[in-house]
Amino acid sequence: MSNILLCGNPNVGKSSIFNILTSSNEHTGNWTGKTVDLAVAKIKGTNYNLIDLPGIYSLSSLSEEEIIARDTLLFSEYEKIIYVMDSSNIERNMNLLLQILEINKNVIVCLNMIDELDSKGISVDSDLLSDILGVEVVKCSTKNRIGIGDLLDSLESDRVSNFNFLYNLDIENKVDDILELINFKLKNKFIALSLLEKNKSIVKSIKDKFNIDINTNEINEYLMTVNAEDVSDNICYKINDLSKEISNRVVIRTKEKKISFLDKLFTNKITAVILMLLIVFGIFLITIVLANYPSDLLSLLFTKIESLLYNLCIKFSVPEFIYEPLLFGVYRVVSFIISVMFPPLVIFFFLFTYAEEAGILPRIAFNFDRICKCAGCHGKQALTICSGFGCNACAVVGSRIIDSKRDKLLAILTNAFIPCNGRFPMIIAIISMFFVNSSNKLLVSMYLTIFVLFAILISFLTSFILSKTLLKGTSGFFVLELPDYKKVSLSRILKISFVNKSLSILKKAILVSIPSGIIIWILNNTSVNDISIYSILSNFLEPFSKLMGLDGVILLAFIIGLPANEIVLPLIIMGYLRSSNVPLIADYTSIKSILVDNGWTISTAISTILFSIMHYPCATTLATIKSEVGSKWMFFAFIIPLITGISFLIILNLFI
Amino acid sequence: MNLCDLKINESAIIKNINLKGIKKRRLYDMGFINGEKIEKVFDSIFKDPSCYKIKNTFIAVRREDALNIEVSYE
Repeated sequence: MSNILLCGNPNVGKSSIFNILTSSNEHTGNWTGKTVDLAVAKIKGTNYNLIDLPGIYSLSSLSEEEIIARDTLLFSEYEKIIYVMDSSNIERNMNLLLQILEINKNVIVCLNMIDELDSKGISVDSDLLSDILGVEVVKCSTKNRIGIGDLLDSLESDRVSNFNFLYNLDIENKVDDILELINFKLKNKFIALSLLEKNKSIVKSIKDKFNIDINTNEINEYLMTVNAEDVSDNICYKINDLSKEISNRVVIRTKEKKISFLDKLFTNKITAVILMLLIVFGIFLITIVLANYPSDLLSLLFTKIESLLYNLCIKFSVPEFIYEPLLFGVYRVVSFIISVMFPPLVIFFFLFTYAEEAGILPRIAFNFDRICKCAGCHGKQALTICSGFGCNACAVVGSRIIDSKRDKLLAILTNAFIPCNGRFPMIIAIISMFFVNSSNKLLVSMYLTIFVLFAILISFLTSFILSKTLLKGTSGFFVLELPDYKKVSLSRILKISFVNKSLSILKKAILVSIPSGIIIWILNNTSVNDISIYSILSNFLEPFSKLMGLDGVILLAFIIGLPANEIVLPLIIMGYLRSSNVPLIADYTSIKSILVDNGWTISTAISTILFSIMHYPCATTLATIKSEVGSKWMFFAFIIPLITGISFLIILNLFI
Repeated sequence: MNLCDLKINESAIIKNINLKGIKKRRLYDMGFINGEKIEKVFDSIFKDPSCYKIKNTFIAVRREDALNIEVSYE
């Protein structure tokens, strides 16, 4: 089994090629750095493994993705490189290709989106390109499945590029000098150039991988005389000139790129604000309205199954102490999570993935960068906020698209304020019961939008405060490509959002809620002096909770709900009913009467919603944070929203 | 003059990039390099960052960085 590397700029359809060649379902995002973990899969009908490198603009190795790509190209074993280009942008894409050709000449060029050239008024002479570079050039379109067979055939070609180019004499001489001095088995021009540019990351990579310090005293001494900035400039000029020259020879352009109608809408102050509020509001409305039916259906189904299981247990005389915790603890918690969380999750991620694939998200980052900058964070934080509405853990993983560690931490630490799909059902239920007194979906969505805007505000405020204290500094560099809007296939999106996102989140949520189902049952069914532990704990929390406008039962529900936010509301109801089993949630009217009987007022409702927005992230999110940035920051991610929530509520309740 | 002086739909040629290190290299990689033609295509809703067309792609750059990109009319 030998390896093939898949390289290219962001937005050239690299992941689509990967998916077609390997029949897998990797997700193509429309921004840099979507593929941080290298996806590897077998190419159908061959003996090759295809390795998908991150989409990058160059190998100058300033970002994590570039380092991963460069190290894989330099140090790993592979047979060939498939370099994917956007046919309508040969010049910009040529840059990286020329750099790659300095590392390895076994390259196949894949001109993707070839079928879009006519409408863009561009023609590309692929034969000439092939002659110039001395490589196989395959014309492709992943959208219409053109040229995939040719691409597979080209893997068998043994053509190796003979393309070479020289920098100015001074640099070439220096390269020769350095190559003389290097005593490392991998000596090539790329490494020599990197050393001349005083690129620290390559020294580090070689040290980590081979335990060799390539920067020997001789080399260091030699480099003292070298102006790295000048070398770097000259390399860039040369590669840029060459890209332009090649592009001018093979590309004929008859039309200039125009601003699309959507971009006019998205960048006009008035239409953009209206459009974006409508999108947010619309997403919630659609989610609330559509999720209702499958939710009802699922909970009906689960109730039926439960009574079936119960009857079975009775029939086979399963002892009570076995089936009660399993059925009334675990089963009810799990079925509640599935029926309440899953339908909105699927709908949300369908819409989100659509926005992502269509190229809308970079526009959001573009428009909100100014606000982000004021809050001391990076424009891409607007994107992690968006995905936080679906799932905070996903947003934490998604923060990888942010280059600087500081900006990434800001995005992670403030993401817990963004109510995720696990919290929406409770917030929506409370709004429906206490704010609008009806099932008027339009009004519910409106209130929800207000709370969401508040959550975003708090998230930015916290960013601002953190950027002045814990994470001092200014946000990193912001340059962002705004790719063309893409037409996307709905069935593909449905598949991606369902399989890659919704199902995997659901799986995690269920796994963490199983133990909590058991714990809840035990707390309720073990008693000291005839009072269940659950009641003892909630009584203990009562005085403190009152300060925050909550009560002991609510606070305890949030504490036990750490594994998954979805179970907070059923826990509250269970606490009030003093029932020993997780209750079956009936309609809003009956829940409301339970709550009101236990002293809920509009201010309890507000406080509960606010605490749901401002408390610690769920266990899954915390675990994700730990694996992304370590336990120190996990601690901060836990404590910051919690302290904010507690102090906010105490102050609020002093005044109302 | 610098990039910020460009009005929407106006184009110019990049003369120099007065930035150092990572920022300059990043801009080079995105096509912002001396002699390249650049056109301002639209602003974001808060006027910063702005979007420029360079090498036939749309790239957004913050005002603070655009101030350091020297340009001149053709």
